[in-house]
Amino acid sequence: MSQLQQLRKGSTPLLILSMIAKEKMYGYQIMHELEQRSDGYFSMTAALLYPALHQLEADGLVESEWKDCQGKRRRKYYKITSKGRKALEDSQSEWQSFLTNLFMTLQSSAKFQERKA
Amino acid sequence: MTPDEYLQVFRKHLNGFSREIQAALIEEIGSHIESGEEDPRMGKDPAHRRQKLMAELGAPGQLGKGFKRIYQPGKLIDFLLIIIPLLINANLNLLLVSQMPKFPWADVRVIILFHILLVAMGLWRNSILLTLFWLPRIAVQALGVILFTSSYYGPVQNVSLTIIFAGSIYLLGRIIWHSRRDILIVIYAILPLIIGVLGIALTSQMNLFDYYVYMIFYRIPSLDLIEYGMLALFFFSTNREIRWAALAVSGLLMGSFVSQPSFVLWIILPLATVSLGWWLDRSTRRQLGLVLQPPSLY
Repeated sequence: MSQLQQLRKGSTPLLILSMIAKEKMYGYQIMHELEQRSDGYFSMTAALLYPALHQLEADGLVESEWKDCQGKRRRKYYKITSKGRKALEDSQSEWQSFLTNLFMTLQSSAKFQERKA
Repeated sequence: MTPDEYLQVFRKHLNGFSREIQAALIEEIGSHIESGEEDPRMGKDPAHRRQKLMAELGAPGQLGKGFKRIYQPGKLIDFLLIIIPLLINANLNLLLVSQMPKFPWADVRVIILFHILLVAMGLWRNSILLTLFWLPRIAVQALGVILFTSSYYGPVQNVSLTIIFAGSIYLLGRIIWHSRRDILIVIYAILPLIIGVLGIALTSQMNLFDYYVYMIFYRIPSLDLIEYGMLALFFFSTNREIRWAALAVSGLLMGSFVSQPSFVLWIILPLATVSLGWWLDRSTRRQLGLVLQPPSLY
């Protein structure tokens, strides 16, 4: 697995939590909403999404409820819990700090090399 | 692969899951497929739509594997937390007997405390199999002490033991109630309790026939190994019928280990209990159309 793939996989819980931070959603909706919001950059298969959702539920970060749909199969909606919201906020600030520092370092390295050249 | 075929293959990958979880997962993925089939964004051509949907789902085996990591964690550790204490128990008993003159408190109470610790570990690990293995044993041990040696221990300890007995029965009842839809687990939980309580109730009676049966069991040298083997089958087999059979043999062995009273009942009772459970389980699964996909709990 490439580093980028690992990074993407590692960010799955964060992405899921951010999707359901404002409204409850069902699996299919989460998958497509994510794809849409990221302009297709983040797309995940059901094999990645659903186990991640269930793991988040087992960890108490999300909770679920089944809702009947007329003449169709029931849908399982997921919503974020207060513990999940806290984890999302913490994770967002960690990522923010990581990315800021990463870009800062990359830019300064590039400038240093330009000056050297 | 059609959606139906996908769900069928996916179901096969859920062998070993509880019936409830299995049904919920199938429903959730089925609902996902249904949403995809109705989604206009997936394209107009049905074949193309289906192809896109299948690609989005990922391999059914991979999906099942993902869930397996969540719903069957650490089964081996739970199994070891049963087998190792069972191995220790025999030596612990001898050790306690040898230490009794020096440490009069070193008796069955130490074993009960040891088993309480194991139940606590089962609860902490969220392992129903581990918890349900030790909980009925605590109840039976506490009951035995209360009934037979209460005069020896005094009121404070008797009250404590009564609380332990009542607490373990309450907890056992709660777990059984939550697992009531899985008859295999219900029987797994109540079998040691039934055999243990019967053992206590019939302790003073033993006839010649019982004695002979007892001797047959007693003379089998590797009975412990058979019991551990049965437990391993119960824990790790994904075939429900094999798990029922393992439970039945385990019940017989359990009966044989409880010394003295009527062995006839000890043979009949485990077999009757397990057979009744198996029959109920089979009829329920047939009603749900699950006979071909035997799920096994936890």
